[in-house]
Amino acid sequence: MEPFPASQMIVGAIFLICVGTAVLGALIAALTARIIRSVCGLAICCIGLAGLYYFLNSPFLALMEILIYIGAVCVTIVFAVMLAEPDEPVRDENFGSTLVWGGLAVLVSAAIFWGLWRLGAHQDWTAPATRVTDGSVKAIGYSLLTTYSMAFELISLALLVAIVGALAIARTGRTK
Amino acid sequence: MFQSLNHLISAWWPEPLRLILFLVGIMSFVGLNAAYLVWVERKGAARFQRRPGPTEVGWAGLLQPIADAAKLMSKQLILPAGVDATLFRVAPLLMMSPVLMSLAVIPWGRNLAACNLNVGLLMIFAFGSINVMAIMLGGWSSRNKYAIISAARVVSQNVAYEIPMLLVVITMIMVTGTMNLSEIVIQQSGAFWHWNIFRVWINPLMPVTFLIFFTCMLAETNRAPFDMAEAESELVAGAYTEYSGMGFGVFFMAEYANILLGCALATVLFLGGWQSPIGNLLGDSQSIVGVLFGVFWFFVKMYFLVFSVVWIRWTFPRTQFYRLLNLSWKILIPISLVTLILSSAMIKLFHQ
Amino acid sequence: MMNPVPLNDRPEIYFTIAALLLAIGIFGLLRRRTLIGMLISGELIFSAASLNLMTFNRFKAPDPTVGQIFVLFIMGLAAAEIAIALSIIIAVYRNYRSVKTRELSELNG
Repeated sequence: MEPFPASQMIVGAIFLICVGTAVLGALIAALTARIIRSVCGLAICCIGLAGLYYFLNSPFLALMEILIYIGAVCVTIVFAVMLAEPDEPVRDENFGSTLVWGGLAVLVSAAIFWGLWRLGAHQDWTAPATRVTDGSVKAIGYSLLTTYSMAFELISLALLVAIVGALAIARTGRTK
Repeated sequence: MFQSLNHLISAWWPEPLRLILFLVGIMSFVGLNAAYLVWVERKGAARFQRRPGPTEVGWAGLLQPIADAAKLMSKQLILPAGVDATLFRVAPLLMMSPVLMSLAVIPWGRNLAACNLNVGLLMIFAFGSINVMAIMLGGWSSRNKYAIISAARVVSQNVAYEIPMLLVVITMIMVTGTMNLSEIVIQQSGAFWHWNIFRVWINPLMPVTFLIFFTCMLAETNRAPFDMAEAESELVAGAYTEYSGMGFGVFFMAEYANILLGCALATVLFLGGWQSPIGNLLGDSQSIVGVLFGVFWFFVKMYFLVFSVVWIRWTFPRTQFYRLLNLSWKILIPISLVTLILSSAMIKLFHQ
Repeated sequence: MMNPVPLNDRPEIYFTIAALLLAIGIFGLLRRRTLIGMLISGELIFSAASLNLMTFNRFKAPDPTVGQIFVLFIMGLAAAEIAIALSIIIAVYRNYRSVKTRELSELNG
């Protein structure tokens, strides 16, 4: 069957939308003063990232990203925001130091970005000649229960400890 | 001579147009259903309470949904003082759009899914988890005590019921060996004893599994007896208190769309999807007539479940909140863990 | 399109996005004044690392399951970390009535 006209363009546009969503979400998450919008920025960023994972041949991870980050992480953070209501405080110190420290933060992150970008963009990334597996959900399942079963068990143990620990920490001081 | 419907469509139109066709179809289906399920619910409630229900607009009140929609659309969306306007406006859309995306993977008939994903089941749950976020944002941004209480309830309720639901779904993935919804239905072909709900030789607790799934579906969609989110006698309208006009309308539509999605999923997972209960009478299920019969059976099963949801709402009183959580953590989660372990053991021992 | 390789098949674009996410995350970590804000920026950094790993997995790895499993583990650990961190934040809020980093300075002699 003949490909749809301009299908390459449509795919490219969807890819650019995903990239834009991820970056825009990250900017919202880092820059807004209201913490609830920051959480929404994180959620938007995760949707963009899920799209990117889809383009990286892993629809499974794209969906897991949405399930875990939006369904668990963002919801938990919003819940904590509802309990503590921590909006960013109004800048109370003088304008000069804000400028200095903000400039320093921009400088540090820009330097990191520039260095990584140089590293990433000026290498020759050629695909490997052969693939051992096809990277499907089935292959992931087999690997999880054979090669990586130890790590899998450790992760589940870590999650269990985290649940119990979270309960224990949040319970203390409840009587106050 | 007859080809499968999907084949026909892709022979006439290329893939993107087919997708657009399906999405328009799904949207209009959801809109129509949301409108007329409200009518069904009101008529049903009236029958259960021995009164006539809506009768004035149209024959037997059949035009009532249109009048309601016109009323809702012509109303202003009032922004209460001090709300976060962006979040307040986005929350209803965030509630609606994941449902529409999830409905894209439901196979309505043989080869009749908008998008036959290999991880379709996971996709429904991934997008389903966005709902919680939407209700929370709506409740939080309303700046209303009732709305915030309701949002807090929704989170604890949804998190509590997502666990047994996912455990049940993992059991089903183990039994069927796939996350592709079309394949799950194809595995259940034949008469009704091939449906997953009656496959007791894999797991004698299969009907119980279905019941757990259905209960969790009720809780996830915030339906009575688990409608803690908008417990109208305690919390006015819960998270939706401050919404007016179409803001409330979209939330309301999303609730019915969620019910449809849940019932469609239960049909696919347990009741054999588009398979007829008495085996394949028409012989060739690939033909157009066969596919249409499949769609007919799918809708019969799905609307039976939708009717049970309405039935349950007007039969049982609302539970208390701690009972709701107890039901999940003390009863449903242990039972679903037992079914998970039992079916994995039985698959390992007898069905390998 | 001028370039013969489509945009979504070029690893340097993914690396650039990952670097951008990391930079934004570090900026947020330096600038945020509340614990929850810092936590969100930390999540951005996690995401950047995951995206980087997935890119390597897609373009370099002979076994494409490895990177996916690694990212899956990162997600699991992120969830665990969030649970612990938020319970600590709530405990802190109970004791100090604040989660602003400036005011949590009791050990600052």
